[in-house]
Amino acid sequence: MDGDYDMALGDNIETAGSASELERSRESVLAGSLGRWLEMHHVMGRGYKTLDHEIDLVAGLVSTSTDDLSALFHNLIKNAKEQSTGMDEIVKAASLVNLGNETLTLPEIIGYLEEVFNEGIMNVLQLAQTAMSLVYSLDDVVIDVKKVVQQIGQIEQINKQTNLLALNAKIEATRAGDAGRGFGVVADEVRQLSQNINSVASTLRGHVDAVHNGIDQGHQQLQSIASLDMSGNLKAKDRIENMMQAMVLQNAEFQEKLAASAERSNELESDMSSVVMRFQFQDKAQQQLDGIRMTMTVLQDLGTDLATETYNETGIPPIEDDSDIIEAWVDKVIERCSLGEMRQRFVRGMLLKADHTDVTVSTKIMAADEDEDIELFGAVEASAASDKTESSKSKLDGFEDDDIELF
Amino acid sequence: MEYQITTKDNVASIVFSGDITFSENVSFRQLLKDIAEQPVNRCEFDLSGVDMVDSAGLGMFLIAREQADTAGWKLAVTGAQGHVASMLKLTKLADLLDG
Repeated sequence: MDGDYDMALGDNIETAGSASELERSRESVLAGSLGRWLEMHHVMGRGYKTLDHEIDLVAGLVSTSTDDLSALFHNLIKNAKEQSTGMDEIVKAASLVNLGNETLTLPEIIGYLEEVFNEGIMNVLQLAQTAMSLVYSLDDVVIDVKKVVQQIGQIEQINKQTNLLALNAKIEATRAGDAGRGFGVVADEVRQLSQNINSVASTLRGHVDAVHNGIDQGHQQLQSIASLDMSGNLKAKDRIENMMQAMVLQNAEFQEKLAASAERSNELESDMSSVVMRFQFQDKAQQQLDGIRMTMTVLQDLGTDLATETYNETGIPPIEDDSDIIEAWVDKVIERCSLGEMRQRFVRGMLLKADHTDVTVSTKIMAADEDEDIELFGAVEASAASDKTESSKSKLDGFEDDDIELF
Repeated sequence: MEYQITTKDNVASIVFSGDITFSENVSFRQLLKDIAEQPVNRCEFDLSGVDMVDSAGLGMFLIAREQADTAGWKLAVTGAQGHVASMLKLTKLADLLDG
């Protein structure tokens, strides 16, 4: 286009004969230039409007996204808290035993078992001591029994003497004849007595022997009561103690893990709260975007002021929105912008239409556009920018702290 | 079971050897009688030479301790090892017999 006018100017200069013809062609060239500036101003106005709307969309996107993310993080925090509480309850429950109307802790159970075991041992000892005391008492009884036996022996001895004496008396009585008859009877009686005493003594001996046997049996029974090999108990006690210690250790481990988990949970909460706070960037971003829009408005107004002056001074007719000329300008803009096909359509629609109300952008559309390198937030690592296959989808979904460089 | 008593300054040291079980109850009683005949205010039972103690033996230790309480002397048990030491620990007699 410019080339045409240059040639036209040259032609005009060559063919102009008089100064007034030169003057007229100069004027028409200038008018042409001014006209083109006015067209450009008009197109720039549309461009500013498009950009303004675009910024608006961005602001909306950021606002919606931060709201969604914020809500998600709050939910995460809530879940983390609940999980921590749940774990706390589990560990507490694991170390308690429910017995209907009472709840026992592990140390209480262990203590009780030990008490029971020790009581059992004490009972055995008590039994052993009593049994041995009994043994000694029985030993003393045996001593007395032996004394009794001795005495019976004495009785029998005395009896023997008595019998002999009676025999002698009988012999003397017989020798005395009739005079000794009475004496002889007495002697017989005494011998009879002696025999009676003998059989009584025998019976006594029998009884005492029975007592002695009874005591011996008692002795044996006491032995079986008193002499227990307690090595089995020893092993059991050792094993029980080991089991108890293991349980206590395990419980301690649980408590440790619980404490660690609670700490992690707190850290998680704190981190997530920090993240939620970082979303405040959205305010600042909004401010800066508003600033940009205002600046654009100022720039556009500057141009409009000048355009109005020019219209008044030159009398050039105002530009029509849907003219072919404007469309040509739009093509130029599109040609120089590295926009994808979809964006191209979008931009064209924006530039050619008077209103912008029917254009919407959802995060999904933005995410699915693989041709775009949409840099919403400041600078991104060079490697990511150069890799065109790294789609904007991944940028938006895989949000990392490093990508936010607003301040 | 065999034992040796040595007394010095009213302290009787008794060194045991063999087993202290039910079958030794007569010897043990004799020991208690021997102790009772001397004026002692402390007795030390050295069990380092004892291999085996059953519950009867423990019962007899308790009888000895009873006698100590009645007669007014202190009983201490030392030198227990192996099985004997385990028994004393299990039954907590080690604490009881520490005069």
